[in-house]
Amino acid sequence: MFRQFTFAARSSARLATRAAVIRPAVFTPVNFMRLSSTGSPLTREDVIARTISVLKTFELKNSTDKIDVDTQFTKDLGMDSLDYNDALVALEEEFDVVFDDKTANEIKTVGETVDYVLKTYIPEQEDLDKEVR
Amino acid sequence: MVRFSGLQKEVLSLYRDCLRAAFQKPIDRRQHWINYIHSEFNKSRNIPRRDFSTVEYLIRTGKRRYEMYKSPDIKDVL
Amino acid sequence: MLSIKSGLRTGLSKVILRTFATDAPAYEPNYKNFKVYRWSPDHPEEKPHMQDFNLDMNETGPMMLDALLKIKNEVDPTLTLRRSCREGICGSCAMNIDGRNTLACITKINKTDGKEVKIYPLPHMYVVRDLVPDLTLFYQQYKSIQPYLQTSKPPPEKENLQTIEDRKKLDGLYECILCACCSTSCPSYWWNQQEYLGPAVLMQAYRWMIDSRDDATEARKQMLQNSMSLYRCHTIMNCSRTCPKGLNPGRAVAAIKKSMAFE
Repeated sequence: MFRQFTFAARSSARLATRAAVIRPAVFTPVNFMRLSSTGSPLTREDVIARTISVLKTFELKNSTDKIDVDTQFTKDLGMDSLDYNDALVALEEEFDVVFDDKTANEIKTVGETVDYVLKTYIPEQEDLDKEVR
Repeated sequence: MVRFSGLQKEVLSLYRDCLRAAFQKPIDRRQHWINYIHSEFNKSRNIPRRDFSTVEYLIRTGKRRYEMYKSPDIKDVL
Repeated sequence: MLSIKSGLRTGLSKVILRTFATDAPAYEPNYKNFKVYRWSPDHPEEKPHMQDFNLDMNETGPMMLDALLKIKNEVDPTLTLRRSCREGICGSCAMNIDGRNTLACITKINKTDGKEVKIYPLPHMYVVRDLVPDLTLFYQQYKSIQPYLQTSKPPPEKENLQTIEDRKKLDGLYECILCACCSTSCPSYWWNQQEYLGPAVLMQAYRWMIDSRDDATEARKQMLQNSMSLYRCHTIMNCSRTCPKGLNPGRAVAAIKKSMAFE
């Protein structure tokens, strides 16, 4: 709610309704910094930044200000197994990816989610029926 | 992070499926669903992990409820 | 006025005196113990247990269902069971009574043997609560055999007629009320519920296969042409032994196997 959004054209309608909902403590998909509507490849920096901003929408028990790729969900963010699965699903929504069960159960750090997103993310123009999803 | 037992993995998998289904619900109702999922899972937080029959039962009923509630016809939960 | 009243009063006291004088036999209750399986999903961490109910048989109806409803009405309203028709036609009250799968409504209580009765839900089924089993899978399996008339012919003007002989073939099959007593008595079904269809559903599959009005016989056979759906039947015949309607699912399954043997 406090962030600057730059929307891709396709998601603006979806996001407009999203922004109307006020729920600071829990996740609101961000989808910002999407560079162009043609879906340019995602850079690692993008993913990290967006991941961190998604994580910050959660109520973190250890409210450490800095989250980076080495941050551990349980140790550093004080999340239990259910909490960080909340975060994972929120990230799935943010990046249009799905964490498979094995990965989801083994992920420890923010960096690992970033790597997974980069590995599995499909740029928009190649994913024509994403809207149908 | 602790390695999860098979049963725990099933719980987490169900939990993720539930949350994913919540994101398919109308945007203004999603919070209801997420709160509902949180409260339902929280109810069973204190079940000992070795109480297999209880956990299995809860997974089974949870799956059934998930199957029912994920239908797009069901929009809201209280 | 006054005299009538006092006359009545003396009459009444005479009656009372007389009863005392004749020394009527004291009331002798005839108790029978019912051990009933209890489990509640509200406390899933509590293990299932057997609860004792002692009922006076002089004040209980003749059937097991009467006893259960007496418990529910007068002793413990939380006792949960399915029942509807109370005459063996709906199949709701299927349960395991003294080791046998049957319908509580058409099973007599032996009021004189003094033995206790043990009542469990249908065996090897997930329990919803107390005596209520989860029949979701059972109904899904029934649905999977497409239990309805399939024909390519245009619908006839009036009834879809059969010869008397063709109709006769359905006797002993159409009467099944899908109470699940037979399927849940079958060891093959206990161990392979997910793949094996079980006697009740197979008997209905057969019922549609031999229906002279149905044209999907070949497709119906094809559906069963795998190692699990049908061939997990090892002719144990618990199904036919337990059927509360006196039907013979085992024979129907054997008939399917026979008809498929040379294909």
